[in-house]
Amino acid sequence: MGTLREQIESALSETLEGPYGLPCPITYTDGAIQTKNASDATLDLMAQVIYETPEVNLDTGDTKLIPQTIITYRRTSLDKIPAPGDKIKISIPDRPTESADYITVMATPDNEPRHGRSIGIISFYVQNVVQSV
Amino acid sequence: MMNYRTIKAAIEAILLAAQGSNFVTIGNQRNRDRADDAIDNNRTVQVYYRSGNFPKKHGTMSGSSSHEMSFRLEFTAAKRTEADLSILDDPGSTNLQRATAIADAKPAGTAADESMDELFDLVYQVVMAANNYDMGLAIGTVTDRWIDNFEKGDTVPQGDIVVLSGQAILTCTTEEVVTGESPDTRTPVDFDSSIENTRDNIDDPVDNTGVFNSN
Repeated sequence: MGTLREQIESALSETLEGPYGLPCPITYTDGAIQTKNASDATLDLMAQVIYETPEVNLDTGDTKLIPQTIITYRRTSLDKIPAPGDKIKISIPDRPTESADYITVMATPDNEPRHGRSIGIISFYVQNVVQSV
Repeated sequence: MMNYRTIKAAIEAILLAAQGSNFVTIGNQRNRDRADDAIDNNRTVQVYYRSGNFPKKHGTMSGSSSHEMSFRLEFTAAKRTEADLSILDDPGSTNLQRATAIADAKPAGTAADESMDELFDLVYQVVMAANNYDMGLAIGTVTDRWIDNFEKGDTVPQGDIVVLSGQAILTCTTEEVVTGESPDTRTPVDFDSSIENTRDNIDDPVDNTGVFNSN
């Protein structure tokens, strides 16, 4: 077992990519699609998907659920780390089961990725996409 | 009913007649709704009487008063991110095609901003049209019609929808007539003491005009 940091980072393989993870292929700004784990090409690229997010109303103190989907990857599983402001496409199941249909969501400059400087995760606050006219 | 209420209804009627499938007109202040209620061409225009001034020098103690009115037009637009899904979801598309589609994708904030610009354009053209100077009312009812300004707010992400609001102030002037309470019609009293009170027939109103002199 390596350093404490390495141990913590490797634990992400269980928390993000283990039983709670879902296959989430990512398409980068150059059009390249990543479907496999960069650390282990035998594994699918997995992520934690949270479909709704609690938000506190600062004026009233009420908490409400908003349909804000958050997709969290392990950084070492990605081929490249998108920069803030990059537009990327992610395919996610529309329900938290692997047999569900896949939908397209995008990370845009409206909501930049977060936790990029944490020990090993990066979260994308994505938006559903409609067909452009 | 005072003119400002009639004029407010007239402004609403003009916008309702012109909205088509481009926007939705609401004739009152409304609490915040769901973000997707204003999505795409369901963007809303709320019109309501905001404030008024009654300059004393332009009024009379009895009769009409000048009423300088302000109507608020509140705009709400909401959009989702738009992209060419026919390319992005096509497993046969190339890297270059996908890269182009991603680059051309319009974030929800940008789409909402463009939608708001278009909405204000549509409403301004309707409200400030020459044939709407009197808001469809009798000539002279409305004067000095003018939209003073337009201000756009900040984009507000609501899940996968971005909402943008804006407002414009429409000012105009009208004459308000103060009717007060309903007048009580009374027969005026004749205090002409020179008219003799004959008292021949005390019940005859003609013989009993004037003031009775006991001297």
